[in-house]
Amino acid sequence: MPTLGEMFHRLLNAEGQTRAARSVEYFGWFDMSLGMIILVAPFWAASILRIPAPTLEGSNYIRLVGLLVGGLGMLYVVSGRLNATGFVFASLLDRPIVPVIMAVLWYLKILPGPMALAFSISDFGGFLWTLWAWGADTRYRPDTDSGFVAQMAAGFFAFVSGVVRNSRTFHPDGRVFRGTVRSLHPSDPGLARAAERLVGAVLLRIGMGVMKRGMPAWLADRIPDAPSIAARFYTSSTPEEIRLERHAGEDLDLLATAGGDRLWKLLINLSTGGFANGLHQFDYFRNIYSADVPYKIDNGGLDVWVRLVPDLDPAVPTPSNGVAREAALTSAVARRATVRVEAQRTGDTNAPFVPISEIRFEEEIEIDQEALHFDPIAGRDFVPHGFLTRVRRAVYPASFANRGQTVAERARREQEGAGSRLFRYLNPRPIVNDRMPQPPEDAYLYTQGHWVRPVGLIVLGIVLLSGLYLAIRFTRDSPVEYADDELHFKHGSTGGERLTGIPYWFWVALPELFPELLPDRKTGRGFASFGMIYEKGGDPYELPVGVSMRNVRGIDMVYLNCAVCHTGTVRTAAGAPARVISGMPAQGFDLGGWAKFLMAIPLSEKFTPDRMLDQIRKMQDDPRRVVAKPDLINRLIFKFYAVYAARERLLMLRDRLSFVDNGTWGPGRVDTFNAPKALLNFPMKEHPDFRELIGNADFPSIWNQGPREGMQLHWDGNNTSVNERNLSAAFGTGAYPPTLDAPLVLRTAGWLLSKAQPPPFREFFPINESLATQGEGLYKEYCAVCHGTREAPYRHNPQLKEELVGTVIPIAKIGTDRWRLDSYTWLVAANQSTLYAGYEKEWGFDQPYPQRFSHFRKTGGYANAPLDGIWLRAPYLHNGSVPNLRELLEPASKRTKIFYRGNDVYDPQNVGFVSNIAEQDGRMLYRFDTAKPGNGHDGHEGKEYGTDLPPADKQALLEYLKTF
Amino acid sequence: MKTKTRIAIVLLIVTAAAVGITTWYKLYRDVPQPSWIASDRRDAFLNGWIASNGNSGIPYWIWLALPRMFPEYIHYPGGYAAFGISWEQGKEMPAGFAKKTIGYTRVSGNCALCHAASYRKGADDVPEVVAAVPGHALDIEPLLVFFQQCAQDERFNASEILAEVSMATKLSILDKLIYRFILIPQTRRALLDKRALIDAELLSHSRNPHTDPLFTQESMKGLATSMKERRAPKYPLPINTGLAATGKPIFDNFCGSCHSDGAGKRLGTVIPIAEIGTDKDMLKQGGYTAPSLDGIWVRGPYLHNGSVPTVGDLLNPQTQRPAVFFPGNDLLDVVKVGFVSNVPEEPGRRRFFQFDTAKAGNGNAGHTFGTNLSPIDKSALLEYLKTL
Repeated sequence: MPTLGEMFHRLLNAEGQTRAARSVEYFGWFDMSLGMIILVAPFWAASILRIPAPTLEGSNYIRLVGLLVGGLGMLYVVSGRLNATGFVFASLLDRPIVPVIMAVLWYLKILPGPMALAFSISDFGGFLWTLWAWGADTRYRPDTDSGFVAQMAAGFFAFVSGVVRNSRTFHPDGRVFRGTVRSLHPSDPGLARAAERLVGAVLLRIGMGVMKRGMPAWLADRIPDAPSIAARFYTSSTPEEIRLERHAGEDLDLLATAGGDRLWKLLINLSTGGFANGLHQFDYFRNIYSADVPYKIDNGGLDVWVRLVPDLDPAVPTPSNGVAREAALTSAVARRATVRVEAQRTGDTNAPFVPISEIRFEEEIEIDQEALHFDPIAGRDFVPHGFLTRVRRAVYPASFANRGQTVAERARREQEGAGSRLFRYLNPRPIVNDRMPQPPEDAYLYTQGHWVRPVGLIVLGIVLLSGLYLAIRFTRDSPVEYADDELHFKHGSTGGERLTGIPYWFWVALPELFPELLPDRKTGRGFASFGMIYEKGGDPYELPVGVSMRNVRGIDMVYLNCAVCHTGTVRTAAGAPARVISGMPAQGFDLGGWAKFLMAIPLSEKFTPDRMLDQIRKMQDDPRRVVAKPDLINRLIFKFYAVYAARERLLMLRDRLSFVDNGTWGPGRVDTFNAPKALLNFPMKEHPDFRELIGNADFPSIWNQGPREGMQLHWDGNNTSVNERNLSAAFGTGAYPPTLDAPLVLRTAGWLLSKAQPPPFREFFPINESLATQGEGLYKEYCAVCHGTREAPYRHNPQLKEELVGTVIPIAKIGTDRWRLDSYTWLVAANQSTLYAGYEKEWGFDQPYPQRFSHFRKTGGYANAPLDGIWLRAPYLHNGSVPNLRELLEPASKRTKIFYRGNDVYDPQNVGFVSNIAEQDGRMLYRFDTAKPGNGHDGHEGKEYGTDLPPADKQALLEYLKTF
Repeated sequence: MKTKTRIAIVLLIVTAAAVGITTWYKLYRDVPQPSWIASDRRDAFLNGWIASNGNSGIPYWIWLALPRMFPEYIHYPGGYAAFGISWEQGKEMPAGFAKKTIGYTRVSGNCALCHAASYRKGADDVPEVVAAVPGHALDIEPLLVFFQQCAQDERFNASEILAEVSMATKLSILDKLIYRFILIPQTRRALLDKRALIDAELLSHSRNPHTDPLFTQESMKGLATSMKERRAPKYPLPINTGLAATGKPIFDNFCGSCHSDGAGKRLGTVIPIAEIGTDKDMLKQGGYTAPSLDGIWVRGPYLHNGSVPTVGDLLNPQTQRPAVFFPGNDLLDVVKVGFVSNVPEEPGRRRFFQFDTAKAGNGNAGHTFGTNLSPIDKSALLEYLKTL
């Protein structure tokens, strides 16, 4: 029975640990650290493992768990270090049970999933590791230093040499020379002793590292390559003896490579073209060959770096290609060239390389090079050490064992082909060849191409590559780009798809699957029945104006952009072709109806993954489709995730917006500022002020934004910054601060500054020019004070006494319907100044765009807007309650009480859209009742507003307004 | 020393330095508030950071997300404004909240939480914010209870909060990790204790404002100086100067002996309770101090316990003063000087607290000076008081 002291000693030193015991020890360290963390930070550990937040008492019991886990870990560590085989075996019995138990407990909802998974992975993984290590221990000798990396490398190189190259992986072809070594008598006594040990004969194998015989010369000369020298120092009994097999201890195999005095420098050098570190690809004699491992010499007294330096004969011209290089070597041997062996003390990169021995070429010899193999381990009192030596100890024998043992065998395997070589590699036969090297005196791991490692490497490679592919796919975020500015306005993305995008295939499938929710109940027309503009004719695959597309995480998503509410159509007569006008209010688009459609979807039992995929399958091969049909990954996402996620999101939107009745909007209108209340999640249903719940307003035109900077914008003039107003409106396209695509939105904003212009009325209908000129005077007298001039910048120059364009008229004075004004409260204005917060500085630098909102103000009336393109902005007033300009020049009592919105056929006489018929070309129009709340058409009447003018004057004024 | 050891040590030092610098940057680095706060006294009062230690406050993004996540605990629209907190349009932070970056950005209460208010001249007007006046509209207990309710809700966890925050901004991965593993759990614990928003000094000041040495703190020195120079805000509506002129001698006669400065006057001294006759519940000194009346128009409701809504009511005998009223409204009562207090709820805005003068500590008796004046004299006096 050992004493406790002895046990402690063994614990501290951990000698003779088997691989299995070492795996148990490392697992124990892992458990100990885990236990420590749980003990010290139970709340944090609980939240990581998704355990419900514990009470203070509960957390103390979690600490106890941590203590137990840590204690278990300590047992593992101690037993592992003490090489306790019985304990290791026991750990093989109890750890594989853990995943089973975890699965059961998780199924019974006793434990949360992440916790069960974490413990299963760690315990089962540890079990597998110990199991593998146990197997390795029984098959192989105990390895002292050879580590996991060395074994992986051995398997890899065995594969490359045996299957791929059918030769040595590096230096596949070389030339062998015999030489003699004499000492150069260095002054340092240790070096001198080492030099004495090298005296004798030497076998040199010289060749290029990468090139293979059989490569065309032009290719071989272009690949970056480095030569190397392998030297076997031996004492020959006769002058002609060639030492094919290394005599253990007596012989030293030294490998030296040119192109860098460390292996990593060589690798970098070659991968960057092979121009550094003095590498000469075509001249063996101009290179310096370094043994990339340090050697302990002189009985361990000295630790040196060794290199071989050929004596360069300056008279010999430098070879310039591979053929010349070999010729130069031949002639150098003929004249008995020499190569010096030099040593440098490790630890001091400035220490000199001291020449200790000299090798002299004697003659070139022909031997079976495949039978000649080098063991770069200790010999002649030169002991290599370090990580690379450990790896080489495993790799070199493995590579040798897997290739042809003779030149003839290599040639035969070359004929066989890579397939049979692969088969041979995967099915190693027991070794019968007595020429196979025996394990040398210092133990190293001797592998025979065990299949686990290369298969594992291949699987790892597949996993890494798939991971890379998935990483690239799921971080993808690329909008469809348009070169033309107007096309970009109509279809460019604002970034909304990133958060609220609808997959393209859902977009095309939904109207087909839910025709009963469409206004005209017809399939095959997409969303045209809501008034969306399909420029190419209306097939459901086309993306209408105002719908943008972006590939987000591998799925093509669509969503709305600015143009959906700010692009309309106009026709000169029924049956005439519609002309699409960008920047015009979308007077035919029923946004409220479309939103109602979307929000009814999640309530339908048809909205299931199976029905959706069925519908998509029916449609995905149509030649009119805009994107490719969904691939396997996307189909899986649609089936198992997308429909459920969409349902949740739509239900949330439906709930938050439920206080808004979007059925009252009608085409061309929206309740602008009740939506932000939903975004800010105001509790509008608990104690609402009913006066703020209806804020219906006409879509405005958005031409000529440049001159409008500084004017009070929005119908109630609540913001004076065009940029802020743009960003605020962009929320409607799904562009929130984190998802906004600033460059693309800025591009649209730039286009709207001055390039977006209304088309002239004259292009569509004639204007009585003389009457219009008469109207100009009337306009200047009655309208110009509030509405400014006809042309930008709309402010008069010189300024009028009172310049009111772009300013707010108090509600008492203008007298129009106040529902829209009251829907925007100062609470909304104050809270809006938190939007885009946090964007002021990026890395300490001011960010010019976007900036936090700071310009929203509650006003007390409606703003006077410039009248550019006014003919296309019907119906009129902020709530679109007056169908045409002629009626606006009438007092409210004479204006139509009920009319129809949504028509795009124009009425040039009354200056507005045809609004007295309920149906146009088979499409039902929206019945607008001015008596309903929010739809009042009073106001903007009285002498100052021209409603008292004689009819002839009104006609002239109308004619003039057509010229805007 | 072997190269490998050397490399390992260097790597360790580099890693430790990187971790240290990141920790300092994300948790301790002090960034001064923007210059517009420091340069203007009013803004410094309303939004300046006065907390003394780096642990104060709620992390900014949590503060921003809570009203959007839990409107069912606020009951009225407007986010924090629904608690009676004043908020100037265009300003990022409401009055009484300071935003400051010490490592991470956080929000803490400051003096203005209790000492700033707003007024409206008309029912449709936008509230104007005034600094250094009694925060008559602030309902502090519901605000603290709101935070407690949020913290007790099981939705107060990293996933839900970060989901809401991700609609407002894009946090970096490191910030998300810091929020998930440090800030959110820490804040939850602090809010459960009602500790987070108002740090210890402000809390003790609120309990004992007269003796507590709050102003000796370094961060408060600048504030203290500016407070000494600050003048009361002017009455915002037109004053009938003629009427006010006739009110001045009435004030000097009936009010000046206690409320004016000068020889023989008792401004700033304790008036014995027997003489003043107001509610005895808070009595500590044997009476109540006679305050100066500058800016009295914005200091409603009146008396030490806020039991009389307007000065006009104070000039009536106790039986004619309202027994139940609704303070917290910021609409000015232009006739009686004070705030409109007879509206129990403004729909879509707020429900006001029901002040019952019969409850203990709420008595509105006493201070019957001037109740015998004629109506004309009273209106002249009120007009004069508007000028103070």
